Amino acid sequence: MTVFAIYNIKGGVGKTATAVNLAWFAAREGPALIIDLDPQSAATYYFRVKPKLKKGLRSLFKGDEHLAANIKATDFPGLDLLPADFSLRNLDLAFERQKNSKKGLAALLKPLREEYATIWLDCPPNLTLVAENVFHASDILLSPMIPTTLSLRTYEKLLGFYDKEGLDRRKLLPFFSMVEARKSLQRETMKEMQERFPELLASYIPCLADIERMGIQRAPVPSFLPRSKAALAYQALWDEVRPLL
Amino acid sequence: MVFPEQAAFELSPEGLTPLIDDIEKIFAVTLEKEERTTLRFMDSFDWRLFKNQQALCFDGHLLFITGLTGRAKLYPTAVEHPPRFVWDLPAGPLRSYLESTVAMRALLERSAIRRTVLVYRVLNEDQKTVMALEAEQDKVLAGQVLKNIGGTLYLRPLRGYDAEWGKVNSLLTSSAASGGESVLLRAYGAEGLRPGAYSSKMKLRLQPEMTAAQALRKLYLRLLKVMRQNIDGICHDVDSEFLHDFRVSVRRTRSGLAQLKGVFDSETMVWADERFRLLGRRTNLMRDLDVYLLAREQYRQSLPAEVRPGIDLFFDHLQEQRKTAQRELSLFLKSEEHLAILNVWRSFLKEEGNEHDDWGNKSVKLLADQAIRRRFRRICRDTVLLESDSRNEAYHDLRIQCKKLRYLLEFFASLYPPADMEALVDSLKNLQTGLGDFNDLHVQQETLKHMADEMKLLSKEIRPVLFAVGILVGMLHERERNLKPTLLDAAKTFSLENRKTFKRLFPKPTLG
Repeated sequence: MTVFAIYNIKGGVGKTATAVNLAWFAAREGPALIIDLDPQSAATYYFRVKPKLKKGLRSLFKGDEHLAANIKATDFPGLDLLPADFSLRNLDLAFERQKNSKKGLAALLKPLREEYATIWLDCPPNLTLVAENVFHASDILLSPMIPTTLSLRTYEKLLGFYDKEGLDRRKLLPFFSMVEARKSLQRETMKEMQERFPELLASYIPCLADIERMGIQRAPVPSFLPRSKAALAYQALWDEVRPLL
Repeated sequence: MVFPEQAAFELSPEGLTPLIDDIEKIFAVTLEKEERTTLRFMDSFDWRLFKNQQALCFDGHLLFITGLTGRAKLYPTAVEHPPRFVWDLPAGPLRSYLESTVAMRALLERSAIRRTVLVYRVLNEDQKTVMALEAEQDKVLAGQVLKNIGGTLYLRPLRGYDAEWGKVNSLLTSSAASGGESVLLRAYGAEGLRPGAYSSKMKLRLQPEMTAAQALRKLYLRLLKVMRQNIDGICHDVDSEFLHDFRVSVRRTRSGLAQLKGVFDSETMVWADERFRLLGRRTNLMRDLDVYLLAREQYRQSLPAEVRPGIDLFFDHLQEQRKTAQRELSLFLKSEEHLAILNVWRSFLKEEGNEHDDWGNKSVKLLADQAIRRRFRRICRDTVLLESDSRNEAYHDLRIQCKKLRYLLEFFASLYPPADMEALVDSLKNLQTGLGDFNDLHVQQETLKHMADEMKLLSKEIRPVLFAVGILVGMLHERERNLKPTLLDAAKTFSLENRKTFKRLFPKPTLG
């Protein structure tokens, strides 16, 4: 069982779209669970699930049955979702109250390891205790970034944080998202990053209107536009990531 | 909340639309897909799979064993078309299972369902699928008309949507009966079949108040029925067991006529004995050929590889003979002569007033007691005279006596306590198994000698074959000899073990 986290401290870089679409591909090969950790509940919205947790935040800490009771089957066979609700805005406080404040999420995921081949964590855009829990709990951290200089800085900071906390930086897999290949500045940034960071994934996700459509269709792109450029881009990304399972 | 794996509801022929309408009062329902398949259900003539509450099913791609609900898919195997016989299947778990249940019987298509499957999604106000509905609507071709026989509606839950499932389940429970348990029965019923109705086993229910004549009329009519049921199968050469079952009924009839005399007027009995002996004779050749051919592979394996071409020549020749024999038998069975025998016998058995003074109106139990008692006594006497170096014929005679006793026990089983009868029959079966093996050794030797004789006429270079056959026959002869002491022991055990029971169950009538 592999835990994937989709993380970036910046918002609006395509985390949720990545989590939703990669989980869809993964579910075709083995049972998959996507966990929405963002109180904005975008992933939950994309799957037409109501953003409500029975017993709110406490359900995540009261034991397996309470957690399990909140898991919902999506419309797609093999893909389940643990929805987010607004109470997740205090998730960092909840983790702080735990004995081991950084390992709470890993403990939560333990009983789920039996049921699912992959778990996908859609993370909120911040660097709080929630993010630290994600760093500890995930086997692979995929970080989507828009090709700009500032994004490079952000990635370097993330690497620094990993080193300082004694986390394994080999878990970090950055890739480019919302790419506009016509823009020469973007192309140059991509080239520079490829030279400096060999762990950068070869596949990237272009900026495409079809991905925006997810908000209207409320479904993963490959389910309603299977042969679109967007679907193929996520397919390629999944193909590159799959051997790491 | 725990869902039953699938809630299933009975669908009447036009019943789906009203149910969907009901559900649409609370949730939106959309059709996701429609699929059509044809399911063919196969079983042997004597329902060997149905006895295990199963059938062999072919859905156009896969062949598998299924249960009464038709949902299970045990040992799925990809095939082009359903096999006629088990040996037409590739080796694998399905073939192994069928070998042990259906054996050499033909797999007959007993029912074909044309099924339409409609899959619906049930949606909440966010257009999220909260459960799925799967409606199976089945039709059966009855004559020239496609008859709608109803179907099953399955309610498939989706994790996390218990409350919604509960609502629809309650709704359906109040408007439809629970279903899905009897797809197979529904299919067979629609074809007008009563599965399990044919059995070659003797399950005769007699009442102790019956007179001997009443009881034997019932017995002979039952045996006659089995004979008639197998005629078509023999004429169409469906499989070897139709003739076997036909002959067993003939043998049982003859055994009854021979052992239970004095019940009906003698003229007819003489006629019946002659006619049934004729039937036995007319079917002998065909049965012998079937038995030889069934053992073809066994002989090929047990003889050295060099002589195999010779063996194949022999069996191919037998196959030719069989073709002719089958044609002739088929003609005979459809002939006036044969049908007259069956009809006259039936008319006789349907009459009243043809009892014989000796036993006709006496209690059937008295008749049964005496016949069984006498046969057992005969076996005991023969056993006393038997020795480990007695001639083979003595052992074959014992086998025949045991068969006669077995038939009697089977005819009259319902008149005696079931536990006692079961124990007796089991004990007798043990003895019969050993005697059967002994007989088998004899039959094999005869076959091999027959083979050698035939080969002399057919083949040029037959010395290696004769040599191999000679060795095998020698081995079999040796095994025959070595088996005798064991059989003697078994026979003595049988008579000793059961003496008391026989005395108790089948007493001599007290005088006065």
